[in-house]
Amino acid sequence: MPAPRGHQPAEPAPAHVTLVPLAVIVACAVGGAALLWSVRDQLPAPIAIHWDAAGHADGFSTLTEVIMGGLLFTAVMPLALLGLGLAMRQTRVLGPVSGGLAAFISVLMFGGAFAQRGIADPSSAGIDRTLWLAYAAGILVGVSLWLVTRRRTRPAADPGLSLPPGAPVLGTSATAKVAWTGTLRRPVNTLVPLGLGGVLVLGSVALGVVTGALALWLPTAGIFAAVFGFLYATMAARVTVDARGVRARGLGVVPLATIPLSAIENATIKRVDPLGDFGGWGLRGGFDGSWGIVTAAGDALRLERAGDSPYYLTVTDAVAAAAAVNTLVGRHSGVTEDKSTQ
Amino acid sequence: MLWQVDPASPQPLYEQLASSVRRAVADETVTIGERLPSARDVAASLDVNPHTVLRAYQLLRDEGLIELRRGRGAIVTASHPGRGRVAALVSELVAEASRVGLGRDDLARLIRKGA
Repeated sequence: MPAPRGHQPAEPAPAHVTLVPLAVIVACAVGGAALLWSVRDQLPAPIAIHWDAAGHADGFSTLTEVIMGGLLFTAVMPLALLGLGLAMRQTRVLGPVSGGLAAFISVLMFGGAFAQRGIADPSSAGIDRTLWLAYAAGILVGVSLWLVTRRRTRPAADPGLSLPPGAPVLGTSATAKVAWTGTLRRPVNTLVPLGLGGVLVLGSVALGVVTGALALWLPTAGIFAAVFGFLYATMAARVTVDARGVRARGLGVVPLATIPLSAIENATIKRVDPLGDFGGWGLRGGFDGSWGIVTAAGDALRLERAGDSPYYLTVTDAVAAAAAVNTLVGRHSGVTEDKSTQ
Repeated sequence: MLWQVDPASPQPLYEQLASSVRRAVADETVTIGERLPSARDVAASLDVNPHTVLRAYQLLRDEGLIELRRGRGAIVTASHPGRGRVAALVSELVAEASRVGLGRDDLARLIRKGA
């Protein structure tokens, strides 16, 4: 079946998708500066602001410079990212990323100085614990913002299956049980992210051992392990369509997507371009406000979700998967299967 | 790949499951080296007994279409599009014959006569 080609006009995101990350960025910058100013009497002079690979302080500044620099770094880069998100209509992705980045920089810069309270010699100040905290704050704020801004406020359609023209349906009997199983399409061998991630993780640990600053490099190794592990799990994902809904499981176990049948209005096939439509590969938000797990260019299963954005999965046989979804949704909503198209 | 079983069909469920795999192998929806979902997962998706799925997998193993490896599940080992197609047709033939009251021995006789 020929799949429709072409981009849908990007749907502008609601104002809160931009305003909430903006408020978080401002809060991180101003809050961090205010917190540091409140303990100015307990801080050493000068304050350590830079550490070498081994975790020894090797750069120092005055309190004013720390606060001005902190305000600048915490606000400028995240605001630039948010602005880029607005320009690209990608605030659903770049909003949480910019907020998470602001939290990370704020904790790292203001928190790094805040941790030096009561220290007489700033050269003895450490950064290990602050770095861990900064990573944790960045991830926590980023994920929280994503949860707050992810939902689309499109009204739900009337109950029942609403099939667009050409949407595939199975021609099975009403008593037949139907399921579809498959994988996401893989543009490269799954061993590539595994190998690349392994090299970066081992490299970070080796650098930590060589410089004697393992505690400093372990968070970096952990981030590499998490990112490349997730990438590998995504590429090796299994997708199941059955009477419970549509599920994608990385390596068969890591939950990547769970969409109950009751949340699906219909399924169609749409050609996607990971870079052009989603800005990259993996679990991503699309430029048109959709979401999806996009691993390769070509035909993708497009799930129209009730009251939410469409969800894309670049599965191995999108036509059969869509037919299975539509058949099951039709049964779930009580629609008979008289309108079979295949 | 598409899994379909009809409890109302006279064809046993495990044979219907095996037919789903044969069809997928024949139309190359699944390829050599690909791992099929675990019997437990297929059973949960179709609301059938896991032993029914295992019986289908054992049938396909005996046909040389898949290998059952401990800890690795069912792996497709043979493409045999022709063989898979024939097996799928035989499966449909047996079901159709059953519907009109013909047993497997009757079918075998008919096939021999036809040959």
